[in-house]
Amino acid sequence: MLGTLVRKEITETILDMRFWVVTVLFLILIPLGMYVSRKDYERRLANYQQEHQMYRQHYGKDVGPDVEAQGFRPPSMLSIFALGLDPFMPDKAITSRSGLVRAAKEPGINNPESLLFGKADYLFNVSFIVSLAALIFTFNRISGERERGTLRLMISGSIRRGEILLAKIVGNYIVLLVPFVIAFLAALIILNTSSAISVWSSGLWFALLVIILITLLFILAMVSLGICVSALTHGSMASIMMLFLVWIMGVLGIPKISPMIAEAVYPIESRNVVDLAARIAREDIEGEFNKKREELFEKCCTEFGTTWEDIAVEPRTDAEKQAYAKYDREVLALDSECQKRVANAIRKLEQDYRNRRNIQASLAVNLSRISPVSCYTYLISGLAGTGPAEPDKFTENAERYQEQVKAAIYDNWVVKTYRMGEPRPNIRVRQTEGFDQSKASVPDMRYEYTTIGEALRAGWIDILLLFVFNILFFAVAFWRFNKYDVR
Amino acid sequence: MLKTIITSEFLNNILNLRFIIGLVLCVIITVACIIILSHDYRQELADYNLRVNLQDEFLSNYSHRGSLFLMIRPQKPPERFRPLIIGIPGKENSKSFDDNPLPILFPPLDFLFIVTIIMSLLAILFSYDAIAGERQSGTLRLVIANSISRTKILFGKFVGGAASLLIPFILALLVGVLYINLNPNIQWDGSAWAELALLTAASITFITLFYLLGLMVSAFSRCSATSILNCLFLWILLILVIPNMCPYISAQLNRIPSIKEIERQEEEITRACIELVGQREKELVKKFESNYGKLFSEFESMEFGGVLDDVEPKNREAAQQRAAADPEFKAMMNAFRDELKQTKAPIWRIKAEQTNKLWENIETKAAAQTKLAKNLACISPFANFVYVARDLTGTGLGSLDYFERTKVEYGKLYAPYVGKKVQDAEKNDPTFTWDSFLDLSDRPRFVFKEEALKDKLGEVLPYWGILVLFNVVFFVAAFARFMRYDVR
Amino acid sequence: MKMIEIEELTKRYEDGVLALDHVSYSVEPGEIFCLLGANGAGKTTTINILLDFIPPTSGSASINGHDCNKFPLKAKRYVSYVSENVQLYGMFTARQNLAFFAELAGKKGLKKKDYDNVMRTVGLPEKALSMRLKHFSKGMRQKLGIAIALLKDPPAILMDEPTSGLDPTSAQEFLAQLQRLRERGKAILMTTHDIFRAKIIADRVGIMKQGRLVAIRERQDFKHADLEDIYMHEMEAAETV
Repeated sequence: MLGTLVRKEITETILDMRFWVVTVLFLILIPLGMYVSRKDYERRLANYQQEHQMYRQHYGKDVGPDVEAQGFRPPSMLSIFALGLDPFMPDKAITSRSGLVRAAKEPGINNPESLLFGKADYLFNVSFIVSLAALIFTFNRISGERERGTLRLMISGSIRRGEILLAKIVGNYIVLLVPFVIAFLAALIILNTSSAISVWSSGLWFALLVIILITLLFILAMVSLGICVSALTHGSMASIMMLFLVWIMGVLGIPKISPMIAEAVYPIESRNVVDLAARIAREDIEGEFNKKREELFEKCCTEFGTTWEDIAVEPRTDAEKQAYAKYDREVLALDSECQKRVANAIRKLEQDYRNRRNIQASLAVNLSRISPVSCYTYLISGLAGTGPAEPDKFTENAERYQEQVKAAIYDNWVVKTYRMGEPRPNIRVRQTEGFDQSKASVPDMRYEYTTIGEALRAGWIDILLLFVFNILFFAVAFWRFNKYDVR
Repeated sequence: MLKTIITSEFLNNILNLRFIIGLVLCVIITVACIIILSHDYRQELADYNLRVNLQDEFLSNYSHRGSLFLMIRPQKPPERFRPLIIGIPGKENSKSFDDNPLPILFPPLDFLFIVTIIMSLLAILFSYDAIAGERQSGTLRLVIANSISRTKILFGKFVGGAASLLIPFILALLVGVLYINLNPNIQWDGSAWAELALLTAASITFITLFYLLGLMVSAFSRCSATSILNCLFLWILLILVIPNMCPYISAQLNRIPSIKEIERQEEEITRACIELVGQREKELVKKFESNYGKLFSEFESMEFGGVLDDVEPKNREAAQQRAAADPEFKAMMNAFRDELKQTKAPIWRIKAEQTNKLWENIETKAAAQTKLAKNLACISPFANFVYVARDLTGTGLGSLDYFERTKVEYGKLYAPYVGKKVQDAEKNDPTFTWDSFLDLSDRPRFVFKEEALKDKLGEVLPYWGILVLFNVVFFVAAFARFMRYDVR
Repeated sequence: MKMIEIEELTKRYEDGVLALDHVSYSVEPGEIFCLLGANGAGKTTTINILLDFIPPTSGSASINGHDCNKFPLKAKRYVSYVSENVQLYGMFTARQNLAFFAELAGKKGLKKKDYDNVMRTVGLPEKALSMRLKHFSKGMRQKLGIAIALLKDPPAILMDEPTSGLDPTSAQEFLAQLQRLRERGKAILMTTHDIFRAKIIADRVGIMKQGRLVAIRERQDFKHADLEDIYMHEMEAAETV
């Protein structure tokens, strides 16, 4: 019985004009979107390679004590599927001797129009267009049959209502999948023809498999939702109004409103404020310590009978040598304390800010999970390395790079400051033993994106929710359809 | 007669489920949106004031010469239409992306969203069965059986239907405007209200455009089901697909080299110039060697006294001493220095010219690409309306450019002020160095003024015109088809 | 003076189907003309041409002397239309539906008693005036359709299968209605399958087959004979031609 129903559903749907419209839509948009995204990725990759190359050419050998090494972030290959946060993420990490690494973004002649529009990637196509198509496909499958009178005929036979419902979901899902899968395969072919990408490379095909599986789950959820809408309404007009409501609120409204509500409920100050506060804190602390250093130097000088005005950069007399030696010993403590205080102050500010921001972000994310589109977006962008977790990942990578550069370069220089200010700052620099400046070079940043495993682990709740949505929509449809007035 | 049709269409829509749903949706979303955005605006305003104050504080306490130009960064206050329309993050804010990554994944809800997505869909839902639906229910036959011209019928449907559609919109807008008016944090002057009026008019143009689209598709369809499908398909094309494809298409059609390419080219030029300078220097040295002979060799042994490069102080001093003692030596040294400057100057000038041309070139190309993208997108009424709305209210790319221009103007005021300050300080205090503190408390302050309304209007009129054109085209098409529409 | 005049009316569709083939007849004021025929014989096409829903290929149709194709707006001023199976405006009440179509018909200043009268005339209770159309039964809708036509009070009335689906009582009331209209001098052109009722009420009967008017019979011809027999006979005769 179920088989008959499914077959009839499939046949009826294929003959419907909607099927052809949707097929054309998918076959054009998904490969086209993939092509556009691929070209964009190639452009970003080329930029990254050029930048990296130029940097190595000019600064690769610059291993001085105060060098600010730059580590570059390559674009994630999967960002072709979901551009997500990529255009807004920093491109490079810049280390510094003081221990703080900062992020920077290359100014680009981005096509500014793409700030206004310019979403054509796979994620956009599926979460907006495919979801709308799935709803258009199914929104009046039940209410329409009721209007035509065929529902009465079906129910008058000895068929369980649950079977009818299941057959509708299964039949429509199968028919909707055919154009989608074909379009997806066409998109994969387009992807493969790029010189920069090979679909068969080790990580990539597994990621693609995960992406398509999650997408299929999502499409099933939308089909169930459409059938649910159809079972909740009694005529085409009411069905279409409900479809309108559901799509606006579920696909567009909820994901957009959640961050706004989170911001309203738990506001935090902007990044600029934190940066400025950090800068001021540092200036204050360093000013304090500069004064202390000067005092110490004066003390050492007077102790050995000279004055700091007479003393030169290289000690000449014995007294001066002794003064310098004592200062060298004692200033170490000051230096490290200064560094520690600065680092602590800034780290505390950053940590506070990040904590608060994370609370707000997770509030927004959890609120938005009411919509299956949000869950889907988080999953796909997380897999693509362009999701909400990426900024923190960048910080992780940047800090690791800072450690790397510290071990390779900064630790090999000993820098002593004797006097800041007038007339000239008195700084002496010395290399440690074993460090050959001519042979050393600036290390590269090895950027690690979130792995598929990590993304899936982080996204388990979204996957679970997608399953729950499927079950929920079917359950509601089932409950309403059992009471449905078929006359 | 016409009035009868208008009233009937109007009433029919009002009594329909779609009106209630449209009304509720519009009002609730607008209210929620305005409340949240006003709150954001308050935040941003506070943030802005904080930044300005921090900057002031910093300059008062830490303004040593080295950091003068670093710290004086003119800040852009939040746009006054921020409670309605969310602006585009400027270049300055791109550093602060990690404020909240979510708004990038899901662009937020604002007035633009309400008009372009919700109202356009609602318009289609109001009009998709205006003709096909009445045909199916048989009432179209009854109406045509009377002596009323089809023109009047179509026009009456348009006016009545659009009027019923605009009610939820206007109501929602009124509520929003009331809230803005009552809110003490949002100060709007006359020009802001004028802009709002214009924005409303533009929105109405956009909404009626989609109503006419539905009407047109209805006139081309035999039954409502086909009509709504075609309408939704066109909606997806016009709103979701075309505007998003255009930037990419224009980038393909109008390729520009990346910044890295240009930097590399710049470096080539610099390197070539440096080589050339080196050559000229060598030639000059040879020439002087042959002219001055032994005198010049002596000069050479002192590493040219620092004229060519930075050298050790002892050589520089030696050369100075020799020049002071021997007038011939001094003449030769001066001649050498002068001729060197003469040969170098044109080379550096050419380098500057070439690099400038390089950058200008790419800027014009980029501008051309942006223009192409913008014009391509005009196929979609969505893009046109976004341009109109954003440029009218100062929340678009145009306003960012305008801000950059005002910054440049300010720089013209600030730079001479600072220069004079430094000059004065150096005159008064001979120990004035890089780290010395400067008192800048009387500096010119940066005050942001909105662009004049008539300038903005001029920018915006062509795009608005396109929207009007769409209206006309859709109506004419609907009209032509309806004249021959089979009412049976 | 002929109120409704059909002269050599021909209609051939784009796909070649000949819906009307040189049909000629007329309807005078105070006359009820019933058009009989199978489905697809061209009955509805005639009415569609009279109401300018479609243009004729050749020949003419006119109402009160005005050609329906050349001066449709003038012609339609004199005619009222009762269609089968019209949903009317579901969200409007009966009164609103009546008012709307009356206004379209150019009738201004109708008062409550005019509405009450017309409802009573067609046999609908007055309280139905404030009921929404979507709650009306099929029979009630038919009656309201007739009420709409009556409110316009034109000299000619076109009816397309007006008794289809009516229960016997309602159909009987409808015939009484037609009688009153005839007494007021209206010219009525009615298409129907209902031979039984056509025999009772018609002054003349036209039998159409495949676009041709194969027979016209006056009342006296079928008053005492079996109209059904005549009908079947004419249909078979037409077949052999």
